[in-house]
Amino acid sequence: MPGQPGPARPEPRGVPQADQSDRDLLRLHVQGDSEAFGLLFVRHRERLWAVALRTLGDQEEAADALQDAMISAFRRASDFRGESAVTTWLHRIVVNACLDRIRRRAARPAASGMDEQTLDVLAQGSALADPGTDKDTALDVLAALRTLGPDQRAALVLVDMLGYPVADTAEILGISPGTVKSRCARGRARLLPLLAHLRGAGPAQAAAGGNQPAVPRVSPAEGTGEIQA
Amino acid sequence: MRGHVDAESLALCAEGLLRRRQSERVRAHVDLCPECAAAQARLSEVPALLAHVPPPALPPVIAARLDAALNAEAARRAAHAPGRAPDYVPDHAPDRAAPARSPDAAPGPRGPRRRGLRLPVAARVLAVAGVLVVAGGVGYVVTQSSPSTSSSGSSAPGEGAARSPAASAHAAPNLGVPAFGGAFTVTHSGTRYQPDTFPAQAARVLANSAPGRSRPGNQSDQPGRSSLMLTGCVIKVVGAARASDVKLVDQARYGGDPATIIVVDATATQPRTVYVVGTPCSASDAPILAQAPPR
Repeated sequence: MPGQPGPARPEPRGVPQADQSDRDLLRLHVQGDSEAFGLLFVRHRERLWAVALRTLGDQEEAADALQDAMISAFRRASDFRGESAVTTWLHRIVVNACLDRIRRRAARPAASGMDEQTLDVLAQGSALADPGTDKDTALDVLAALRTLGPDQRAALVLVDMLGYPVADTAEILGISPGTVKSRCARGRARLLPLLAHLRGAGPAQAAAGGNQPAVPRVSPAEGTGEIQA
Repeated sequence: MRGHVDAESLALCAEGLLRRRQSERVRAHVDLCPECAAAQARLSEVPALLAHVPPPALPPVIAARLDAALNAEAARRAAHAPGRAPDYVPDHAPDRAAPARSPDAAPGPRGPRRRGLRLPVAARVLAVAGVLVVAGGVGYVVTQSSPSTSSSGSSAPGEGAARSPAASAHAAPNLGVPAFGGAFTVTHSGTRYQPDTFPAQAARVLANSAPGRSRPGNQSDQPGRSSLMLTGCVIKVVGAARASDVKLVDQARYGGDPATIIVVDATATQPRTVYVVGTPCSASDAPILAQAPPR
């Protein structure tokens, strides 16, 4: 958003402006401004939402995670050290909130229902608003993604699905770029058999597969070994 | 043919993650094996398939919910520090220190608290003074209400910035009595609350945790529940309007299972209420197991 002088002004005081940089807004927030954080968050929340929903695969949980993360960022703003971009920092908090939830969910096996998975896939399907999308393809991809462990899933969501650079993803996940790459590679390998019937449905959008059955429910135990990077 | 290349090796090879010898072997095989070449081709399409799923739009309902939560948080901060920002105490788990694994929303009670004084279980059951103050949900501040060992006097080494004097200043007089809206103390009384006696038990713990009565306790061994989560839980249970009337938040047991017991003071319209909340206790999920007086 072009406009006024630009983000490099030192120590902005006063009313936060829509064109202020993320850093300025965060600083204003730490200084006690009541609006700055809202502006900052609104700026990024669509993307953060995409990350949360794709990582968790469940609207309610994603909303909870995003809200927790938002409040956490609000309160911990003064911890921001400026070593990374504010967006990276925000993403990191969101992804951590998501992974945290996945882990807690895993620790409480009986707590969540079993056809949750099916319901979630359906719920996500309804969220696919883009009419140009092959809905079946998207559903199958999402279902396949759910079969991955959280670490591989988070990496693939960021890199392949949402297009974040490996370096940014590494920072967001707090791991090395090499680890990002290997999680992605292993994740792709695991997805391969699940997505085989969608061949060519990618960029060219060939209506491959017709009435192919949905993604087979693959036992997560399949292919053990060093799959979890 | 015995030696097909598995998908994972193909994928790792494509990312340049295999050792040179290995990678050469994979390539040599793929050059000669149409099957593996096809697998490699399919593999290279996976990123495109993933990218093909459009990013979901933030549903308006959820946007509204986030707005509301943010407004509530901003209002709490404003109430906490009218005109003054700096006493807004940051959490003590700065993101820079923590690898991504450290759950953000759980700003690590584990660290500093673990380093605190350790007491045998029997002593712990009696100890109520190991009190955590959640300053407006901002973070844990570990306090010791009575003179104690030097190790706990400075419990939280290396957290200098966060463990500001302001934090301690808030914490010390805060035992049992919130100094400002939204603050409450968290005790780990070790009490085993029972369905028919929990209101009386809560009253006892509350009385014991009053400043004059407290004993040195320990702050450890409560598996990492985040201040944020707990704050959200308390507010969810009692409602934001009554959050400042919270008298007791005790992370203990109820009928054998972990539970959070919350006592809210009487207001003009409502009696003093004791809630027993099961796990998880969070802003989104706070199962009330029992309540007195019953609803």
